[in-house]
Amino acid sequence: LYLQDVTDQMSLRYPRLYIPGHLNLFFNKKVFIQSVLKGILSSVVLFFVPYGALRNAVHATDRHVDLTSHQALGFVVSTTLILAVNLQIAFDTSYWTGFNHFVIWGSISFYFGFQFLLYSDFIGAAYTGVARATIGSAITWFTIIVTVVVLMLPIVAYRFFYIDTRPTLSDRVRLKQRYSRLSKSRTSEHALRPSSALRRSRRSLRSGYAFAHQEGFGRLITSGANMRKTESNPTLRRGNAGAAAAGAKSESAIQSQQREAAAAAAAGVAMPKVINDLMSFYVLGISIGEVLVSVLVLTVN
Amino acid sequence: MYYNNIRFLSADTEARKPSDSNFKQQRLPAWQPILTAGTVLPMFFVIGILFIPIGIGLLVTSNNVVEHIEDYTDCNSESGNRTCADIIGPDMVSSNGSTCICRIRFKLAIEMPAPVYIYYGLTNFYQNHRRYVKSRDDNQLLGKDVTKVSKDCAPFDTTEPDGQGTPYAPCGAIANSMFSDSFDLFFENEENHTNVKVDNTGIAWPTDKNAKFDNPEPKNDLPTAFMGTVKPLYWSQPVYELDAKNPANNGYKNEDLIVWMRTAALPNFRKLHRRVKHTDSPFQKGLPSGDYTVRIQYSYPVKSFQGTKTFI
Repeated sequence: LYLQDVTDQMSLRYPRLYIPGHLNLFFNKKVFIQSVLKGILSSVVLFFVPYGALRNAVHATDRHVDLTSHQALGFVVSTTLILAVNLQIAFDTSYWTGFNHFVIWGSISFYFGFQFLLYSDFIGAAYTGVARATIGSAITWFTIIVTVVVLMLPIVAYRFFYIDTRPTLSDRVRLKQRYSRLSKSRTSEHALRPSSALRRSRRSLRSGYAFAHQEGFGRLITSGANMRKTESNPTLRRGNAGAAAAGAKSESAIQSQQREAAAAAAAGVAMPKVINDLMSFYVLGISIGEVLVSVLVLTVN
Repeated sequence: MYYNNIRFLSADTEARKPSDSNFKQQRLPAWQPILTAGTVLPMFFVIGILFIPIGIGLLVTSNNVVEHIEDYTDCNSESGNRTCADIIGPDMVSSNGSTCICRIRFKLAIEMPAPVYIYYGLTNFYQNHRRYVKSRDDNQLLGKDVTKVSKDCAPFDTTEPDGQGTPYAPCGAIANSMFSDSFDLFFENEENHTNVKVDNTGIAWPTDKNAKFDNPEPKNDLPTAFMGTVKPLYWSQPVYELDAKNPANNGYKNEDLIVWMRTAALPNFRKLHRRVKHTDSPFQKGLPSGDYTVRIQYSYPVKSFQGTKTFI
């Protein structure tokens, strides 16, 4: 209900979006094993980076705070885990309604609130005071941030690389949606095909598709509603074309749909692709190297 | 006929048609982020640039920390030419509380700026073993009831098995294995050995000391308060004699005990032992460079688990 990658009109227009669902491409054994491996790798990073950072750590100002204690390490690791998992979910959410915001940021703040409650003086008997003491030290925050960034960077880079070089149809449609929204507000359509082609294909495709899903055109035809010019009202789903004309129009609909998909792809990847890829690799390499250097510094410390 | 059916059908579907609200038609106002080159590349740049000064800052501050480490596991005892480790035996059972004195001389090349802290380090000591961590009684450490000890402390809860006999105070394996070496640091200045004064308070977490550890009643007469308990097996003195000179640091409130009871996460760890007092000269600005001697009262055997002890 709350996750939507393309609007309903777009998914009617591009029925090929449904192909991955038919072919079971989103969840099969290979994808499952990939996510298991990703989880294993993430948990290794998630534990060993705080381990290395806190191995011989001392608090900068309050020396009596023992950052190497069992509970401090556990607090840092679980905080990193919650932040990393929530950020990955946030990253996967491509459609942010108010509910999504509430759930994701709410669960992070709920975690922190709960931890403070658990570690407070009147509840956690064995864990008293750990949270308050450890969050006061810069090294715990830095460890948390470094670990989360190290976990998120490969995913962001991987996703970005694939969207840029091998965009799926749903990515292209979303880009097109964004450009059409922007161009509507700017009233300049330099990146798109002329609007008459849009309107023509939208109308005809809808009739070609709607034909299969509505209850029939008998009433419409006999009432003469479709004889009216409907170009000014593109959202009227029924009564756009007669049943006889639907067949001929759907052919051109498919062709124009393909042309539109190509236009969307071209619009989405406006920059020269080669330079794009090189830049992204370069920046990715620099930032990963940067993060690795800071992790090494921490472990040497 | 066909037309009539359609009319009824359409009336029905009109009634069943879901409302055209934003919520039901999934048209909620939403933010739809898309990863484009325009967002991702600047983000990578920003992260890389942000982390460069952080890395530099970390390197600089970690190079500024002055640390001197002495491993004294195999130090030679003062009397005779055997190592202290051999004299007291490999584990607690054979050592039975014996101590041996050994001295280590070292030289500080550069001055250690104040404040200076003294730690002891142990290796191969798994304070994070599950049964070890469980083996404590927090209620007892709060001073609630001197005669009751929880089953978690077994087999270090009472003198006889199965809860018979007198309870240990404090009970459990963590308390039993408390670190018992002590150090005296001397600054050798040609003829006079100046003792470096150290502070044994302020080394435990204030929340721990205030909220988790408390002596049983009556608080000003600890031997009576602890009547009915015995000292743990491996200790050489009972808990109310841990710091007889300072009643605020005695009994369960002894900070060395509190520091030890906070279990470390990793097998090689260090714990804060003393804070150097920088009130008298020549230690007002820190520890000046020069020769130092540390006199160690060695009574904590680590050979049985191939551990090492370090003075930091």
